[in-house]
Amino acid sequence: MTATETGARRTLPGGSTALVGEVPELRPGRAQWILDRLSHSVVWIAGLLSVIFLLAPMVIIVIASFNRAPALDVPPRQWTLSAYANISPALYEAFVLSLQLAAMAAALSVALAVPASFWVARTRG
Amino acid sequence: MSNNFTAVVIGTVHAVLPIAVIGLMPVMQRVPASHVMAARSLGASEWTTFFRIFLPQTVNGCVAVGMLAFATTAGAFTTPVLLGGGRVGVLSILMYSDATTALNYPRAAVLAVILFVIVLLTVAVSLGYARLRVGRRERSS
Repeated sequence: MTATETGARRTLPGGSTALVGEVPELRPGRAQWILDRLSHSVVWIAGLLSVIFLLAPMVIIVIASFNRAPALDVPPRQWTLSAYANISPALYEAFVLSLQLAAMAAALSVALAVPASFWVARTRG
Repeated sequence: MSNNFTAVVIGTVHAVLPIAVIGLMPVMQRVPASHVMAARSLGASEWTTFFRIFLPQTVNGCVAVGMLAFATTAGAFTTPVLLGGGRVGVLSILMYSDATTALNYPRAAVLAVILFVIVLLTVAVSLGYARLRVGRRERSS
């Protein structure tokens, strides 16, 4: 006859009881619960602050691009799209040059990195 | 070979290559060696094994690393300034001169926003392609 069939119970450290031979359901204490919630909140707030830290400069630049005055006022006193309208052909050339540079450098670096990393991965790892 | 576009490209590749190698290494290590050995045991040459068995399994990693290199290089400033000698007018140099010499912050900001959007679109398209490829491979297997 097993302990379960006899219905024998034992008292657990928290004061609750469980059948002998049964794995008791673990319930965290209140202090543990508070600690868990606190650590969860800290991680969440740290993540949020990191995202803000990363995105804030971009947001400021985007807002600054709508400024009428040639100054770095955030938020601008007067909003305008004139800076977008006055893009000169010289800037298009710079765009094209930047994209050419980026595309060529990306393609060449991948083309060189594939055999290099293949060699490193297969000989060292 | 300095003060021209070729020098800037070489210098930029030199700067980005370590990042690309470090980014690709885990991708290469993840390809099971058994695939390569199976291909070799079935008579495939080393080149065939590399190009038809090994490389297709790393294409998504290559795309991701290429995008990382693209995004890093699109806004490169130091290398074009030092190796371009003022003759290679990329956007970052124009932004710098707008912000420091011309003191036209809105124009510099516009250039930054447009460059950001272009890089973002390029990365989105490339990652979309990689995801499409993964979906196609999962459907076929």
